[in-house]
Amino acid sequence: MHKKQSPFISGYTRQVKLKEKIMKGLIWIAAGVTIFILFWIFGYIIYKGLISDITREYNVAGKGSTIFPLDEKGENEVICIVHKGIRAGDLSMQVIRSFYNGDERYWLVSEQGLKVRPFAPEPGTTFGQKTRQALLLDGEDYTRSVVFTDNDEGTINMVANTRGGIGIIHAENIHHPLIKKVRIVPVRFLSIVVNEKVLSIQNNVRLNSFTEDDVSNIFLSKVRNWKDIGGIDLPVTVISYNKDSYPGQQFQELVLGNRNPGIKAVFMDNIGQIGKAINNNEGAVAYCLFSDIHRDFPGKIAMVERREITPNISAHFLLEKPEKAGKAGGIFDIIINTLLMIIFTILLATPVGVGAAIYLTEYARQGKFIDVLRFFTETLAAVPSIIFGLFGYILFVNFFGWGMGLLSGTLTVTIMILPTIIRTAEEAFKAVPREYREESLALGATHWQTIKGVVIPSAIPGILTGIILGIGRAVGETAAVLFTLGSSPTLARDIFSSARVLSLHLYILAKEGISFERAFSTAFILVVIILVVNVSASSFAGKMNTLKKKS
Amino acid sequence: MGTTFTLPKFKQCEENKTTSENKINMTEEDDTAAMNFKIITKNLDLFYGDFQALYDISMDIRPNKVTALIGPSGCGKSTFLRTLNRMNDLIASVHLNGNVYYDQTDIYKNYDVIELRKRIGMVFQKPNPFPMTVFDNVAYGPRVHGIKKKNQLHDIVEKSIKKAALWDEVADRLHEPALGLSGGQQQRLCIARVLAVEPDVILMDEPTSALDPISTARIEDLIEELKQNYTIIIVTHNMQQAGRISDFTGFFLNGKLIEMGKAKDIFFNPADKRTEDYICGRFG
Ligand SMILES: Nc1ncnc2c1ncn2[C@@H]1O[C@H](COP(=O)(O)OP(=O)(O)OP(=O)(O)O)[C@@H](O)[C@H]1O
Ligand SMILES: [Mg+2]
Repeated sequence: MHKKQSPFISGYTRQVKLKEKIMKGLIWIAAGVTIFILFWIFGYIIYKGLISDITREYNVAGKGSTIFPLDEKGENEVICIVHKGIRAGDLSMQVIRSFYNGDERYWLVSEQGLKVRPFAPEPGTTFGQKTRQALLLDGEDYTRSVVFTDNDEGTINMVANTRGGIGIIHAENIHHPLIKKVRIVPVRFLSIVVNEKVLSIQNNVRLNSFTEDDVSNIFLSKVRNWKDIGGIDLPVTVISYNKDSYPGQQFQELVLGNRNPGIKAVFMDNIGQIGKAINNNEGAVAYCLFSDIHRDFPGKIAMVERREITPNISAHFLLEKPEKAGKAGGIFDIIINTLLMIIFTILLATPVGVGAAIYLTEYARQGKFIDVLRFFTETLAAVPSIIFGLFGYILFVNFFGWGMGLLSGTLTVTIMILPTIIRTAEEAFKAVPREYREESLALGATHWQTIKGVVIPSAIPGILTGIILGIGRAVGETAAVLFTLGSSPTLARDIFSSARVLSLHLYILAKEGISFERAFSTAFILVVIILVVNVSASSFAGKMNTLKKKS
Repeated sequence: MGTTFTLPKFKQCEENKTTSENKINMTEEDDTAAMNFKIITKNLDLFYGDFQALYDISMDIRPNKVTALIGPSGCGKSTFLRTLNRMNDLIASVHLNGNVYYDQTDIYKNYDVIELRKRIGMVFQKPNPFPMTVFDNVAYGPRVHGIKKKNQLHDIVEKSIKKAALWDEVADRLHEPALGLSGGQQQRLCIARVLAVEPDVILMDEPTSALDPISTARIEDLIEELKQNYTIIIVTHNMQQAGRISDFTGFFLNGKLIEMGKAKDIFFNPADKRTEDYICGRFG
């Protein structure tokens, strides 16, 4: 048997190989980190853009119920109906109250800009009386926009035919023949109430809100002291309706879930007793109907968190116009504004930029002057966009008096991306082999014919790259458009009308705290637009390139 | 493909004979009136800035003949060739003294450069089809000269490609990228592209130096055929090629035209010792 002989390798070669290995390692690490970051960013934008995952606080707990009571006795069960166009998943009693007392006038809960049109049964009737008591706090009045109806059928008809309509009808009418013309929304109506002390500050800790889990744990006696769930050091006293009372059954079903064992608690019969019990026990917690809580109720409503995971992008979001400063509706107008800006910018910047590049590479006498010009173009490409914004504001908006609008904005953005387009087009022209020009000229073509016939076609991929870079910069621009294009979130009507673009919309949504979720879905659309532009341009460039390569 | 690559036997090389008489081969036989010359250069000096690349070149080119220019690298063959269709105009530093006549007209004084390049076409060393289809390449010249009608263009393209002996190979790929052709096909395409402009004179600067022997042979056959209708001036480094295809040969050295005459005289009976040395491969 022969020993395996290692091939001869000199010390120097070994050293060189080692160095190569080290360099390779470093390069791999750098590449790996970069790729990871890229994927992470992209993944994050896609995830946040597609999925809205927020935790909201409510003063009701548990699931929504299609049928809900007007009072604790459960004698009057009702359902809540809304117009078919309303997209709310469920409503809390608190929101319904705000619709009827006028605190909230728009359907922002369902991210819609529609006005709320509340319908209520005539308060003169018993049902009307009961409904009014349940919907309003004592001493409150229906807001003026509430329209009264004589009976449930009238309510259904009105709600069905009124955009933004909402109404309350008897639960028996859930099978009414007309009910298909409206939507029935589940309502969440059970609130958690505690003694004031529970929510007080002590040693810098304070219980701000409960999670749904906290709630079940409290009522199933798994939490003995408020400090277990982040509150102050205070024993928990659980107070409950009798198990077979109406609220007791509802609470078991909607909050605890049927599979859970029953509550261990001090049991009460009605809201009055519960109020007293809360008042008397510092660590007391109880549940009740939201509508039963009156002004002089001794306890405090505890906020309960609910994690809401919903799709963040929908057809509505893409196809509806923005409403209520972007809180509601979609971004259709803004997408169109953005596309308009892109198109106008390309139409302006491409001929000018390519023309300038042609002049610089093909016609201008190369020398000091051109070098200086080139240097400034390069510098301009790196100038912060806000400076272009200010320039555009002074020149187009003020001096020419065109105001903030499509014209001023497009011109500003055009000027901003011109240097990029010029520089890349110039490089593209320079990269066209000298032989192409010579061959063309030798065939008797003029200089311009040569440029048009050979130089420009060969340079198109490069020119396109410049345009893509330019579009990328233009689309992502906020600073330059803020002062020149304006921020009116409506469709541009003419070249002088202000038109908010996606990037600015995104900026405003985030900056003014209107909605981070919507900012992310806008960001997602923005990224998709840039992606589409890139892919289509590079596939176009690829098509041009097949004429070149292949050999 | 019947071409065989036999080296012409240059007699004087074997015998190592030295020619002492310094007779100029030019002034013989069918040297009829100067009116017959296609191109005449008179006392041509050319400078790249301060550097003089051509010295006092006087040369007469006969119509419908192949004239080969030979000489060592850097001796000014390309430079000379490019003065004939004024391609040197593109280089800012170039200036020249002397005259170049094409059909008795001074091309630097009385000829429009576009017209001139239409009449005097050029085939470059490396085939450089434009990044377009085969058809568009050949149609490029006619198009820039104002021919727009489709069928007319098609006729010209077909005729030119046929003349360039390429038709059989590309007839069904006219609308494919020209850069997909082989090197030899590309060079014939470039010739077709020149022919499409219907020139009178074709300048070729080492047209086969980037090609394999078979492609070279095809181009040589083509040149043989084309000379019926065109005047051809070709620069080549390949002595055998010059011997095979040229009717007249000029030998350049250090920017000077050392000797010019009938090919067989230059190759078999050179007047100048330096010509002989070069042909026999003793320098260069
Ligand atoms: N654009 C230019 N600027 C300055 N000098 C040049 C230029 N082109 C050529 N020359 C010089 O002119 C001389 C002649 O060059 P030319 O290209 O005509 O030689 P050639 O005979 O064609 O050589 P080769 O056989 O290598 O192609 C060379 O010394 C070269 O360096
Ligand atoms: Mg040369």
